[in-house]
Amino acid sequence: MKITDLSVKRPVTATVFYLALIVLGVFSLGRLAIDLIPDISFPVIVIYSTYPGVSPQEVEENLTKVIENTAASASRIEKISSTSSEGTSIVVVEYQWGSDLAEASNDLRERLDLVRDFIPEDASQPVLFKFDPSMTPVMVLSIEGRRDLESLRFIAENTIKMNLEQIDGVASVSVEGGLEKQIHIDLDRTLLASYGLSIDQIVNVVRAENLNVTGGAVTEGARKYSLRTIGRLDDLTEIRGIIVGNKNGKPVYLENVAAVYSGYLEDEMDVKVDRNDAIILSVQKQSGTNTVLISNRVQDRIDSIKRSLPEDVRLVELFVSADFINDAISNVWQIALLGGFLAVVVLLVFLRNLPTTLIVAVSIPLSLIITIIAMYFFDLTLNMLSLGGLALGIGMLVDNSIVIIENIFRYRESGAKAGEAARHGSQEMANAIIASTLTTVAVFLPLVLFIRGLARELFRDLAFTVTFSLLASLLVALTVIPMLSSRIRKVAIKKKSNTLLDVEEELKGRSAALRFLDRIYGATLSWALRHKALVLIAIVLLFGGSLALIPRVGVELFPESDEGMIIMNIETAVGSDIDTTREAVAKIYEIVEKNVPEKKLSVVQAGVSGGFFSTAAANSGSIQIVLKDLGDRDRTDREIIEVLRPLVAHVPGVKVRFSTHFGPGGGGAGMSGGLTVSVRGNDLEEGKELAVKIEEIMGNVDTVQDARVSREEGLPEYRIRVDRNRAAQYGLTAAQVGTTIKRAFAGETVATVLFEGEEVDVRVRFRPEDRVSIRDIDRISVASPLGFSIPLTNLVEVDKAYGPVSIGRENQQRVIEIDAGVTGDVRTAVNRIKEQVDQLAIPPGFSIVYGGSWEDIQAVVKDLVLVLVLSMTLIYFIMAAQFESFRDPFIIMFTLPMTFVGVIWIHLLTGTIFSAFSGIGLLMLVGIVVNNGIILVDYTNLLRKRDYELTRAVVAAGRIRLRPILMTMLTTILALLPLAFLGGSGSELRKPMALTVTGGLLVSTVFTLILIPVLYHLFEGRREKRRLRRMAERGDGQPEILEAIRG
Amino acid sequence: MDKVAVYIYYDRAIDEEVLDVLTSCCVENYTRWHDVSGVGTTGPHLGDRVWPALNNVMMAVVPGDRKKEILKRIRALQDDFPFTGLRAVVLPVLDMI
Repeated sequence: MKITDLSVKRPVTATVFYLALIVLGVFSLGRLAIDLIPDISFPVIVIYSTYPGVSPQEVEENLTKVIENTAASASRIEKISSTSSEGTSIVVVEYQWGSDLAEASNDLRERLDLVRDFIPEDASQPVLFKFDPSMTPVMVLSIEGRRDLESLRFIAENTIKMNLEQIDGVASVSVEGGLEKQIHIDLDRTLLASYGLSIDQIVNVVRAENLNVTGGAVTEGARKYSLRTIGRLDDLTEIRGIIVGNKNGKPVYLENVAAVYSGYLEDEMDVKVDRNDAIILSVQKQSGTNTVLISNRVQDRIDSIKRSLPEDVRLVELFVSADFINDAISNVWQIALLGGFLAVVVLLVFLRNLPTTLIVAVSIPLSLIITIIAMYFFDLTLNMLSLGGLALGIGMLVDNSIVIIENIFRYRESGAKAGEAARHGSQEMANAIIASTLTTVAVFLPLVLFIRGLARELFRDLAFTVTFSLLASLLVALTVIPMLSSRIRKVAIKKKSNTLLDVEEELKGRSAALRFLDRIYGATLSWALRHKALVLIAIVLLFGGSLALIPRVGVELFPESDEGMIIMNIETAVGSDIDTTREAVAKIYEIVEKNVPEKKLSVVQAGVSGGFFSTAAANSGSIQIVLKDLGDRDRTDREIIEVLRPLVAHVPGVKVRFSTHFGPGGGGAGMSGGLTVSVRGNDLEEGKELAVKIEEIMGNVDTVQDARVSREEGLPEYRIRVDRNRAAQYGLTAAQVGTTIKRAFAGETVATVLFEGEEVDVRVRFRPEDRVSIRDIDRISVASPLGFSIPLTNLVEVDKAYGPVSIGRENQQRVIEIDAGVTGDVRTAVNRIKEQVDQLAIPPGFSIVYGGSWEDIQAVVKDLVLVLVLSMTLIYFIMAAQFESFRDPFIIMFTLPMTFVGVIWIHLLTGTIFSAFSGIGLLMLVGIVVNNGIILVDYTNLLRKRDYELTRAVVAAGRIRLRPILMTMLTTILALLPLAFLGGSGSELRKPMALTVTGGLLVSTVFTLILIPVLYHLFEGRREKRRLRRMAERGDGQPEILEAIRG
Repeated sequence: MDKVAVYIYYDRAIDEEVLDVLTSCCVENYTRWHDVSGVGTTGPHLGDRVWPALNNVMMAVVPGDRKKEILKRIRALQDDFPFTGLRAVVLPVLDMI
């Protein structure tokens, strides 16, 4: 190899080259972005629009469906789902993986512009957001100070929110809590009627009075003056003095019919940090942006905001998602380095030579540095998977170097000079290590090339880092190792023997421990070769028995990780007022205070504001508990939840759902880890009935918690039906009637005025005493275009009913979702639910779909199985080309069943559930375990070609290759142990991956050392018999050969 | 004085040692063939995966009186590497231009 020659002949050049790489690596490391996992959020665009005062059904019919149909015509759409609730439509458009969101949102915007005419006039222009509302906020802040909540809210809205929303990558900042200033115009219904005025007229007049209009320009002499009509209202007196009508030739002022005063927005919610009133700001990042990067940008901006805030106002970071990520990443670094250290210890034990060990150990840091540089140039982030890949492979980074250095020293020990031995020793093994590296990295090729989906997005980074690091270790083994080996001057020459080819002598030269192992192994292997049938039957039984245990292993998408956060979503009965909710939340908070000493702080919220992505609901509340760091507490988040669950169940009239992450369902690292059963069908009533039955079934499964139907029925409502014929007689439409009712009860923002230095909304509605009961509807008058006012009692009929709070749709079909969290094995839970649901009578037109993490598990499992099959095929092809044989790789492939045995048992013994992370471990294993088989079969072939008799060749190859096989296995496994068994932030995610590789490699290695020689002996023995028989038939067989065939 | 050609066939692993022998015998001129394959008493030297060893061949034309010294040193080297291929053949040089 030219590069080997070059590095041995020009050591200074080689040294300088690697020093340059180290500098570049350190530079790259400082610039790599950090994230918990690769960005696997679906490419999602959310279309948000409002249609004030309109019921969920109408929003669905007139707004949501139009937007859905428009979005459906766009390309690369994966799924469209929507929620229509009172006055709000949210359509979530999920694109295929790898879609360009900027392009997609431009396309969507253009399509929505085309259908603008089909969207109701009163509905707002749809707004597009590139983020998933269920995603964890990157940061939650609170603002505190010795000021009233009104001015704190003002600072939060006008200084902090506006400032943070300008940051590139921040999608939105929501402000909750505090008081928002508002100017109220409370109309007196009786006075209005006495002046012959209607609320619609007042709204129109106030609106018209609050306008600045430009009116062109006039030129006087040499000067040009622009004309501007100043109509903008800026104090209460001006508003009160607006003339709203005439009565008997006298003007009627607004103050004659209404009370005009400054007050606060009636927001049915309050927020506390622990027990103190607070204002909370949640910062959401855009989809596809880096959490730590955005968090750092926000942090920088916060530092500058803090400097500009008044002295008595403090901005406190309650939750920073980047903290957990940074912790988890530094934890993986430490563990990877510890693993590397253990691998070096193994080398020292086996090689019993410090300089040699150090030379081999050099390949670890150098390979890591080259990988870091490659990650920087390929724009990868440092995350649990990319780093996990490095940690997993750290023990394998020395394998190539071990092979090379062992061969170089065999030359040295037989008397070759340093340079000569380095060149020849490396060249001889170059092809072998290139082939074995290729089989290891080949497993990832199908994952990157053929799969489009969650599995690819999740594991692509891992595949890249494992591939880069192994290729880097190959480069180091072919350059640095020969160069450094050639610098060692003293080597004890074994004069007695040419150990290059003398098997027996080589075995004699080993340490006492290895000789002992060799004796046991040699005896076992010889016995196994004499009892091939027995060995094969035992292994088949073991394999079959292990497969039968698979159902006991359980399956989940992602292991739960303890991120130090518990979120309790609290609901009182539908229709409850804010005070009832406040009381319930306070009771539950007391329970939390008593039972969770691990609490660092908590955000307590009663009522949900009708803001972005949430419907105003006075019956909802939440308690978000931020726990102390993992090292400072004994209980995990799950354990605390299990203590709290029975305690809060005793609070009457309250439903509490627990999760450990923001967003629906909880689950791992911001991903939905829950189970969602969807009832699809059009009829609202039947669907609801079915959903409630399924909710009950799910509630009875012990591993399923917090089952909840998404469409809460039962919000009490009065349904007002307009008599269209009669309305038409007065020149009125149903919309006009509806608008009048909305203005009277909900009110309408008619202007924004500059009041005491801030922009404040002006809201017109009836005074509180005129909107007490449903009877007040009858007393409202609506202005007819025919010039008179008609009391509503002539136009509407009112019924009392219960309506849905929201209507969900998926792929343009109505859907009711029953969400729940699952502890442990999702498959068993789904099977138990399915069994019972199948016995229900499903109404025609309805279907039931099991989704959430179950849907993702199925997709990931399907992808992984496909990748496994393709990888195994590819490995077979590579080996077939390497051996120039179809039979030898076939024998080697038998290492794989033993791998599965190890993987199944390690999951059972450690109580680990098989997750997507175990899956990627299994994929890696396929590439690793065949290497042992390759080494064995290759060496047996070699000995056969050196005319060794079959049994002698098989036993000798096994015994000679025992040391490198054990060495590479132990370096890999010991390097994995910290990853598999040490705790720390994010340890739950990496454990299954490390355990899978450990278990699979251990079992497959042990069995490979027996099974592969047995199979080789079997196949080769038969071939030899056939060959001898042919010789005998041709008549050139010796009598003893014929005897052997018959025997 | 008649000249002789000394041919030394040896495992390439001991190339430097053989060169040292010639140097120590004041042999300045020689011809060397690298990576030569063949089968000898110390096993095949074929340079393939099965038999990876290869030989080098050194030929030096020296005055006849140096022959003994060279062979003596080669024999000493054989003692040092008893299982490493190393042979020397001496042929008469009939003519040389």
